[in-house]
Amino acid sequence: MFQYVVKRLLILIPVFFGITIIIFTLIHIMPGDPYSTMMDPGLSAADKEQMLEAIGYYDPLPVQYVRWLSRAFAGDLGYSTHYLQPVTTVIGEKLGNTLLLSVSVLILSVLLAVPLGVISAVRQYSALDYFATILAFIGISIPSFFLALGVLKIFAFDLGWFPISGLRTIGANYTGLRALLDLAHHAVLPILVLTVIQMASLMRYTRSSMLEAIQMDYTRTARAKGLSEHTVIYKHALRNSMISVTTLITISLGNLLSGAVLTETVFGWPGMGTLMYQAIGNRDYSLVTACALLLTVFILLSNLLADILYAVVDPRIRYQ
Amino acid sequence: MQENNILEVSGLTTEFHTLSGTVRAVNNVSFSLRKGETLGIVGESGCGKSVTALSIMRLLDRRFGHAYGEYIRFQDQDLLTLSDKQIQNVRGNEIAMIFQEPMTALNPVFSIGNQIGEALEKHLGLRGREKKQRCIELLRSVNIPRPEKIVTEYPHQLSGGMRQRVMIAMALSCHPCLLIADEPTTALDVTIQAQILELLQRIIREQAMSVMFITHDLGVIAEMADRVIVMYAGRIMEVVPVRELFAAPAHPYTIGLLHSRPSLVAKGHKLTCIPGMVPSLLDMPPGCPFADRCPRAEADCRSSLPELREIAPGHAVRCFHA
Amino acid sequence: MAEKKALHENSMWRISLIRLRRNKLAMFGLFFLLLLLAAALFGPLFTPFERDATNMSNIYQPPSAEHWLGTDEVGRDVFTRLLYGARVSLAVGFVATLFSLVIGMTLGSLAGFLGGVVDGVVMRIVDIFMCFPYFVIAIAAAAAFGPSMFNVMLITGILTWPQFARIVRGEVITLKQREFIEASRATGLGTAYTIFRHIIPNVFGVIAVYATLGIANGILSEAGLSYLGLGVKAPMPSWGNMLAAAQSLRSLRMHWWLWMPPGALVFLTILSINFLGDGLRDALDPKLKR
Repeated sequence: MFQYVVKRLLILIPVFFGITIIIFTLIHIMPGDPYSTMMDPGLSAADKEQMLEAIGYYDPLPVQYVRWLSRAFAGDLGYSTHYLQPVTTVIGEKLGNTLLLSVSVLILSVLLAVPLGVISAVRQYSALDYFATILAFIGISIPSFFLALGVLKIFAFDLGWFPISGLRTIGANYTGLRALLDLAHHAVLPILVLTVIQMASLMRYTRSSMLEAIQMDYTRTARAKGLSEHTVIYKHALRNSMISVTTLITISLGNLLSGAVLTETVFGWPGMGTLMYQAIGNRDYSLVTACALLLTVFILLSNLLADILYAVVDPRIRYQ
Repeated sequence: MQENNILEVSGLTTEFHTLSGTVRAVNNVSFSLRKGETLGIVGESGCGKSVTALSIMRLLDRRFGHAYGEYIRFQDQDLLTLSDKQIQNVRGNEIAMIFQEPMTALNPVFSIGNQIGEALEKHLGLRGREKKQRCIELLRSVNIPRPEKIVTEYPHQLSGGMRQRVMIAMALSCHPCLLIADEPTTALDVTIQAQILELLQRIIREQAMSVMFITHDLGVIAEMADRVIVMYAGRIMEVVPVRELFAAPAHPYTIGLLHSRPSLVAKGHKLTCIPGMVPSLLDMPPGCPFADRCPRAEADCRSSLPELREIAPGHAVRCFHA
Repeated sequence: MAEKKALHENSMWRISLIRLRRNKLAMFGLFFLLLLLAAALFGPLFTPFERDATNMSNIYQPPSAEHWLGTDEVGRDVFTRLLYGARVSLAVGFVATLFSLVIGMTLGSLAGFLGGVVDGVVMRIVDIFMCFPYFVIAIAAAAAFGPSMFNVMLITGILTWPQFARIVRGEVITLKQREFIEASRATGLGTAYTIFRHIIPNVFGVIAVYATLGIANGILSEAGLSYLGLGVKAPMPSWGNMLAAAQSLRSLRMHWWLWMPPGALVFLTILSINFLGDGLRDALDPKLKR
């Protein structure tokens, strides 16, 4: 198993460099001069050129890439030209907000989607199965930001049950439990939207992997032993289908973080997605690059974690 | 029920519902199995032999197929009318089954001990140390080396032959009086095949079990069976004691089967194959299903289905011209 | 023998077709998509309004008999723009998928056919693309190349080709080991020629399913990017940039007819495509779901 994990890790290394090179290149061909807002407008053009030269702005891209990456490994992701703060400081507080959202969504959607998918498979072609299937199709097909806009209009504007945007009530300065409740009140709608979408694919996946397990030979063997239908389904079939479901859940953690970009912007949720979108508008190079890098690292890490978990839950890999 | 029979099947019919229509995989099949007898069931793939076994065990997937008939008497019960709970108490306990594919028939995520132990716990109420001890004994009885270690291992760590031994141990765990073996050696190498057959023969003899042995391999039949049922397109074509099967086969299909297998004894004979194809189960001709491929077929064969008639004691055949 | 095989293939397609036609959801999807296609192609011919005709004395009108879906912030007819937007959104879906198909099939067959280093390199690139945070990269790329319809097509195509590459590569590798390739060597036909002649029927089904779903993804990309102002540029209407009307909180709250219809159309189109794609998958490969 140790060998297996090392092998997975080695595969991720070229992928990591490939992705970072592409991200770095992309962001550096964005139009506009990121430093113009930082420099004293009184400086002469020649002085500006000289300063840009000094910080390596005109170095060839590969040189800039290596410099950027080695600094990034040392924990220095650059300096935000818009916030006039180190990028790590800017990202720090936003990352927590995004994690709060993503982790709640993941937990909720697993708790709802996995049982629903299992029951849907066990009672294939029942009314519940059809209902869940239609619901899943809707969740898979609706654009997240459109659902977000609809929910915002109905529940925040028309009914007024929830705040329109942000993280907490501005100027209220709640503390303790009140602050927590206030935060929860703001988080309900974004969590609702992301959960609906996350649930849909997870439910479909659970259903089909459960259906597959139910028609395997070992399920028939279990029945032939005289085990009750309950044991056959909820021990033999379920345990097998959960191997791939666990993997999917782990991988989706990474995708959730980056997938929330649009939803975050609709709800004005101050997370990584909103931050990155604004940073693009502000031509804040270092910040955009850092956000993209961080989200990529999360995806790679969740893929690695998925591989490791897979090895843990599947004895075929555990005892190799 | 006759006293020396352990199983009596009457009028068993199994249908599957497919997109193209309803298919009769087993068509009005009746037979009986005597105590201590090994009954071979032979036929090409798709002839209904495995479906017959699954129907008796009531293991068909209810969404796609169902079996009905007059009765399936096993000891004092009619298996067709038992409730789900009652049939569960029969399965693995009084009737056990061994499947063809040892690679997929065992659950990959549970240890061998866990999987054998399930039946012991369910039917015999064994738990803990006692259960584990019994698992180890069972593994030893099917000649598995180091059973104390194997009991904690997983199926993928064993070879195909070992897995089939585990399947056999599992089937024997509750001392069933009827064993249904569905092509138990087909997926194995020839040398392993011989070992497994030998093991099965020993166990059957020792425990005086009644056996339904399903195979397409006439060589295996010669070694294992006392009496043989030949099936074709869902119907029984011939019922014959094993010695007569090879000495005096009556049905043209049975004769065709015998001629199409290579034999070390009868050198110089040409290996022949039966011309034509098995009729589609969707589109069964009204007469004898074998008529189109039969060298002896005449007009009556195509218009009406012959009855199964006795031509010698214990030897019945479904043919007008045999 | 060849005749029998052709007959067999023929009946497999027929059975698939029967399965598809029995699938009510798939048929609903197909019907909606055909309707939409007709509306996008011919609808604009029948509307009395110009696509970009402004009318400042008639702005933010709610739906009425004259303006079925009201008017926008400069008095343009929303329904008319929706029909023109359908052309753009569907075009993005189709063309993006076409890009994706061309890149994916080329690289996939090269990798499968040549093997060795080429295969290794292509598959690593596939890994890289599979690990991308999809929308993050799409936004960054749209910002880098500038907002335009063509760029949305290109970006979506470039980000989604790996799935096609994988399928085609797998199929080429399987085919390479099959006996009729040996036979073609013997008869002097080029191996590559033989493989490609056999690949088309073999992968057609899977590719059709993924291409159908790819169109949905293209439409979704367009909607998302244009909503953020990084996609199709005004005055050309697309469902995505019409949805961007909801960026204004006032319009989000009061002028539902500006953003709900395009959003609902994006949703219904993708839903229809998913119904159809799922139906196709079931029809072609019943093993996957019975």
